[in-house]
Amino acid sequence: MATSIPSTTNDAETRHDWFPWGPRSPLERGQLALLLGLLILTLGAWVLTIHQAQTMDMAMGVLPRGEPAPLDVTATTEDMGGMAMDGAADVAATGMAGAGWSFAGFTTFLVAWAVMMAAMMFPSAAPMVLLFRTVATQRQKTGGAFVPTWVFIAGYLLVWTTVGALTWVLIQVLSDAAGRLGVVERATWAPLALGMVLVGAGLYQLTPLKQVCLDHCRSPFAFVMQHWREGSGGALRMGVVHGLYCLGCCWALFAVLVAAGVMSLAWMLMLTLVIFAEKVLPGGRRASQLVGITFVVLGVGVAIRGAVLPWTL
Amino acid sequence: MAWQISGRFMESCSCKLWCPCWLGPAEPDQGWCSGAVVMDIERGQADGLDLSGLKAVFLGDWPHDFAGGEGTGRLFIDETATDEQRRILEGICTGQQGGPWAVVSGVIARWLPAQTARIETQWGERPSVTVEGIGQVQLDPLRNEAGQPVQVRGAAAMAAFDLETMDLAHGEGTKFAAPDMRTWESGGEGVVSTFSWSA
Repeated sequence: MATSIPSTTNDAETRHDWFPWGPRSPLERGQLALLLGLLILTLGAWVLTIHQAQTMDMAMGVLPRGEPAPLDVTATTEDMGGMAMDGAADVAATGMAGAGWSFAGFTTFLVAWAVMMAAMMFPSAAPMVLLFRTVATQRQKTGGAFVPTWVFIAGYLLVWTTVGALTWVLIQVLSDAAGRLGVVERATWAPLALGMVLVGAGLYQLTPLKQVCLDHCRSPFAFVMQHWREGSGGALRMGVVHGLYCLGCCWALFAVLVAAGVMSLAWMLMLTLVIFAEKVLPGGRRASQLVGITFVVLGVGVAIRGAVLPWTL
Repeated sequence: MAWQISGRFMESCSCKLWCPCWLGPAEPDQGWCSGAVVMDIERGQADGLDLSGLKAVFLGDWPHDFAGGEGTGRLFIDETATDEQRRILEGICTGQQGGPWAVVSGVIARWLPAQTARIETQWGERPSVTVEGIGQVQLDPLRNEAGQPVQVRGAAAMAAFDLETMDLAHGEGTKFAAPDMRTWESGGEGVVSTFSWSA
């Protein structure tokens, strides 16, 4: 008859492999170091993002040309030191999204976007990154070449940074278009447009494509099984492919973020939690469908002016 | 810790003749999946500690397919193993010491404590394993008209388990009822292989 082993490496009843308390082997110590590194990067990205949100006078969303930027109530003189004040003035002068087609505006946007992506995506990408390192370590031990994990992460970020560049272009085009409308027309179209983005994003959550991409993101093991490629080039390629699945999974959520104003911290935090729940927690599929239905309802409410999108400027 | 183990491998799951999960994400025949992996170590050592002749059986339950993860796993280790051998073997077979299980354990969200049991293996025409009081794997390898085994090579999940080829087998007769795990019988799926792992 089977008996329990008294003192084994499993001290606890359960143990999640992506959250290895008490590492006992070099592999586990390396995994913990990587996890801590991701955690520090994520926290750093959030600090930077919060700083950006407080020092930028303009929302990084669609703003009609020639309109004064809505004043961010958190960015008062009292909140900021002289340096931060100067930085904010620079940003306002060189122009964020609302100030048009400038290279300075583009780079500022892209940096802010990349930092925001790190803050929002690293928590849910952590299991995949950890598994990548496990497999890469094993390959190296059995005679393969050493492939640093950051190459994989770089491929992933490349996809999202490209998306950021396209988003900037889209914001400029839409801001130009909004600038050509009169005040009354804008008041008519703005809630309709926002409502349509919400409804569209909500419906996308319910499509098979979303579910396929979500399944890929939820199972790093399946991804490694199907897409593993050797070497640094392979790692970069895998990072890009994983980034594309992640894009397929999350682009609609980011469309909502852009529509709600890219620097809305409340929406950022909420969507980060939504993405984490969809990709990492049990029942992620149902969570994604629930979010979809919520967005559709909210979108209809906003479009018919029965509701105002909460936490926006 | 440097280790290597090599020996014979069996797998049998709740699916019918073939387990689609070997090929990648798939819909298992029952919608859910339960499976057993047998490792009969012929030669092995870890930092000089001899592991030859030991046996371990892994049991796993998954709510959907194997690759979809969220699984519950439990390891059964041969009762002839010493305490030290058990600890080492458990580290290897739950992925804490690298090797294929470090990758495969990505589909296990919850490890139940390992248990010891009398484990008996039989190899030959009809390979089988009995985990006393828990269950058994019974395999009947498929053969073509020339008497050759029917083999699979290069299936996606074989890379994770670091297996070169596997012989297909009928697995009717495999059944398990382990504590805190699903009670199941195989629909008839089974494979026989050999492994040589190290880290």
